[in-house]
Amino acid sequence: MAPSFRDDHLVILEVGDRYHRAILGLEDPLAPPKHVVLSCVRRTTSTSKATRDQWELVSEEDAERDLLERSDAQQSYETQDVKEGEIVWPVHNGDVVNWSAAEGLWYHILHTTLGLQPSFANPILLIHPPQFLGQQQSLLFATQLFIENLGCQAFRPLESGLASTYGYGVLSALVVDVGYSRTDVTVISETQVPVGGRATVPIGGNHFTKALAALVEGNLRAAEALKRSGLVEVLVEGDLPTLDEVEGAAGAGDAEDVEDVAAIVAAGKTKEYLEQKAREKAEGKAPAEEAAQEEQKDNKEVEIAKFEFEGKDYLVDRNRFKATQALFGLSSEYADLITAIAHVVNALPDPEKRQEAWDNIIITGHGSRIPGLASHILAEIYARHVLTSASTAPIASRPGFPSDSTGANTPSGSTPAPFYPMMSSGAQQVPSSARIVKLPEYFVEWKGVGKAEDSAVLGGYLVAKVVFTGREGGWVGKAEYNEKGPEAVWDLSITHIMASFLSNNPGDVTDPVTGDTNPDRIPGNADNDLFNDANQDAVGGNKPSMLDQFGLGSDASTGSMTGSGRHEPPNVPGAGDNDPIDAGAGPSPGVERPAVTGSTDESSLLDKASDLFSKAGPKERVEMADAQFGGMTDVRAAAYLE
Amino acid sequence: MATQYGGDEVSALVLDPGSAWTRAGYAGEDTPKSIVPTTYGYLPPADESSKSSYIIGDLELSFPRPSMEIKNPMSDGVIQDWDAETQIWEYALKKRLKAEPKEHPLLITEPAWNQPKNREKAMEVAFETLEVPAFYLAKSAVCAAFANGKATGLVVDVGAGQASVTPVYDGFVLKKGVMHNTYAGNAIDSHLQTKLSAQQIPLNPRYLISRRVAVEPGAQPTPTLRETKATQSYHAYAQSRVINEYKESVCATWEGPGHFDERASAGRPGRTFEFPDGYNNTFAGASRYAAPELLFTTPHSLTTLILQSINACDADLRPFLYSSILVTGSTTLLPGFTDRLVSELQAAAPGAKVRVQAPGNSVERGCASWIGGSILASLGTFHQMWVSRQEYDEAGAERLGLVERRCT
Repeated sequence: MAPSFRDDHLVILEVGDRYHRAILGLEDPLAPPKHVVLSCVRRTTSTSKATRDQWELVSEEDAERDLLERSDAQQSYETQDVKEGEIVWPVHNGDVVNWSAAEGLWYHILHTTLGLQPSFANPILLIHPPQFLGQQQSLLFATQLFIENLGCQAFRPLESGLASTYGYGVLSALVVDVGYSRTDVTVISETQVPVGGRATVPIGGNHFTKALAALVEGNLRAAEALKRSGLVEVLVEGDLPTLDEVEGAAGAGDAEDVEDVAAIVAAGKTKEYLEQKAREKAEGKAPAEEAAQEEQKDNKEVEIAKFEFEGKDYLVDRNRFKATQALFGLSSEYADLITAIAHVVNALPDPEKRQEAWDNIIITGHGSRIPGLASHILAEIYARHVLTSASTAPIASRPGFPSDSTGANTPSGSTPAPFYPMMSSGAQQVPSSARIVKLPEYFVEWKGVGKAEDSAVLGGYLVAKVVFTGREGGWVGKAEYNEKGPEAVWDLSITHIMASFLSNNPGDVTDPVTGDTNPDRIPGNADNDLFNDANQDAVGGNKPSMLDQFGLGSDASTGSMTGSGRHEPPNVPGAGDNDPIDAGAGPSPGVERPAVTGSTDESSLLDKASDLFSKAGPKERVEMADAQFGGMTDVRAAAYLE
Repeated sequence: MATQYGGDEVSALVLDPGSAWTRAGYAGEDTPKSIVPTTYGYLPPADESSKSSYIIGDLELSFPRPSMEIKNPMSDGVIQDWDAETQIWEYALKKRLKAEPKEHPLLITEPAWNQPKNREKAMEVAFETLEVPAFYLAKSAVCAAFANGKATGLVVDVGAGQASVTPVYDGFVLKKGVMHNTYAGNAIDSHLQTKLSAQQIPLNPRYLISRRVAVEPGAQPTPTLRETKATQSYHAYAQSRVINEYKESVCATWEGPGHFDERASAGRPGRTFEFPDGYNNTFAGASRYAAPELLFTTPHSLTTLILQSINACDADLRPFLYSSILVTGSTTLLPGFTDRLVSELQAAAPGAKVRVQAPGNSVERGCASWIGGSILASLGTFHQMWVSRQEYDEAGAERLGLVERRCT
């Protein structure tokens, strides 16, 4: 039984190439991260052995200047090569390139920025880029560093893409995270990332800025300001399908979805993040936003716009709408965003799961703040991937839906099935539609620009709450660490907890008949403000069960949501039974696990054994195999040794 | 770099190179975590001073590069181009799995008909290039049997490049019964390509498509195409991906009894399929069933292969082999395959008690060799089987003898 922590002690730290975002304590209502720290440190003149003393945080001006003056190639990755006074960006392309500097940065964020005491007992949730993953890689080093060097008592890593899905309250999604130097694409099905479900496009906000620099005489700072000015948008133009066409093609026909996209477009149109960070609870923000929208409606039509930066006027032409085109064009260096999206979605073996991902697209990350980018991504998906012949009927009732299935779609329990090329065997094609999900309405503090982009941190709140204040644990402490080392992080799984949490979440409702997932919230559902209420409960010192803390416990009303068939896809085997092809055609209609023919009683025992074997997990299998073949290898080995 | 943490247990790596896909992962896990295409892109040197490079990974091959040729290092299921194959192994292990081969024993699977020279080369690459501490070469059919929980059986493996039949007894391959030919997935693909081209279907691959326009079923598509500098071999590769998708979505094996019958299929519903360029139609009858027929109706059919294999084994073993036929390989995932195989075998060997076992889970069917390798390498008793670096170094020029003696 794991000890639990107080809400106001939780620390959430999001790792990024350009910025780290940090939070101390859950507030009510949950707010976007207050502390945004540049991901760089300067080598000090200290001769102290302690790593933390060798690095110091850098002012914004110095960091900006450093970024402008150097190219990536000049970065020193080895600490001994770093001169005194030199600035190091320890995270590059989502992975740590200088561990000493990373430790310094993390130390200073925890102690200087968040003001933790040297011996702190705060649990830390680390939201990391997907590049941290890999059996022997950065995640292990990070775990070691946080527990051994930074004195962390309870540590929990969380992949950024997964964190976003928790923030959005969906179990399955396609997360497009537009970052500073790259865009990460992650597909998640039932809170699991399948093998091959991650891809990276080496284009991000920084490339947009560089593309815009051509319009402002190569001045990168002016380009950055231009990018945030509202003059820069991404248009859905040319031969791309317009949003109306997209909606028509999707056959969705409900106004909610149109609003979805519009909301995101609108959400993209505001001011700088940094400005906003400084501004506390801005009064009169709404009128300003409206005014900005008014202006920008005209902006689309303006051929040449005037842009002023530091007293100098620049004239920017319509190329300002093309800042993001490197994400979409055909390159001979990298796969473009839409290709990468299709690639990761196809890592899901089951076409229905693929469709679910296409229908739950999350666009997040601060690079995605350029107005219109989300709509453009959706339009490109429609232009290139959504089937033009897609009917509006539910997938299971379409003609040609797999009936003589090979069992390829047999759910494989809790294990995520990996990417495998033939898995779509006999499968209906997807996508028949694509949709962008919006953030749940009840996260009031996250509306507007530069907030929804932090959806990973929002997800981090939920996970930190579940993991650190719940009873089931899900983090690495000193005890686990001493026993297993950093590898203890591999044992962490909160999938089942989060899955039951999310499946109780009113935001993701499945029609039990069609299996269609409606990404929109149920308006007026009393459950919508459960999270906030729960928060207060927990602060009040009650110790209800974990799900109760969210107000999502086993009471009847929410329980019925779970029972709505969320996890049951339209019944494939059932469809097969009714199909004329299979009914009585073969000797073993529709059954292939294991397909037995011409066998008598004696083989049924074998069947049972092998069936048992095929259902066993990896550990059980090894044990069974050991019992079965162990003796044999012994004999063979003995033969060699002679 | 922070100090590397040395865990207590070092798990082995398992590598299963197939003609279409190379699978890699840690022993003891139930699925390979790294699956990369064995097909790769080759970029010739730009000028005399530069080197050629290999482009590996399916996302990396999803777009054309000027002068990139698409190649495959395998032929007849056996590795021919070792330079390329080594690159693919390194990519699968280091880049995808992020494993450090120097720290893990490595088990590699091989086809039962692999030549001694090639086996020696595999061991050499493992020790010299990947610098593994220990190595083992296991027969893929034996591994596939293990994955199905058997040590004895007739392994029928229909993959992309090869169809093979291998009798396995007590974990050993019965060499004289090993049969293989090329009537497998790729052969079905080329048959499909001929047929689809004959129907005036343009088969525009995805990389060419910029925009599509919805067209009526059967009508010629009118997509906006991109200008590219793709090579002929890249175009052919990209087309093969489209055909593969068509095969997986539309094709099925006529489940028998007997051969595919156009008239009998008349009442069956078709499958709707849309090509990347917007061409769409409903495919029924011969469009669905004809191509996979070549697995069963040619003189080198799978049935013939199985009978030849069984008849090459001792007479007392034959009934046993008939009753423990294990089906593996991705091509066997074509709907109806197992039923057809059973009916063909029952017709061809009326007296025998035929029993066919095929895992329902597609991963287990496609990656059976890898899964078996994973089980084998994580057995407590297997550590005595590894060929260690010391043995390799001591063997000197006698490497061929070493691999032949130890990895049977």
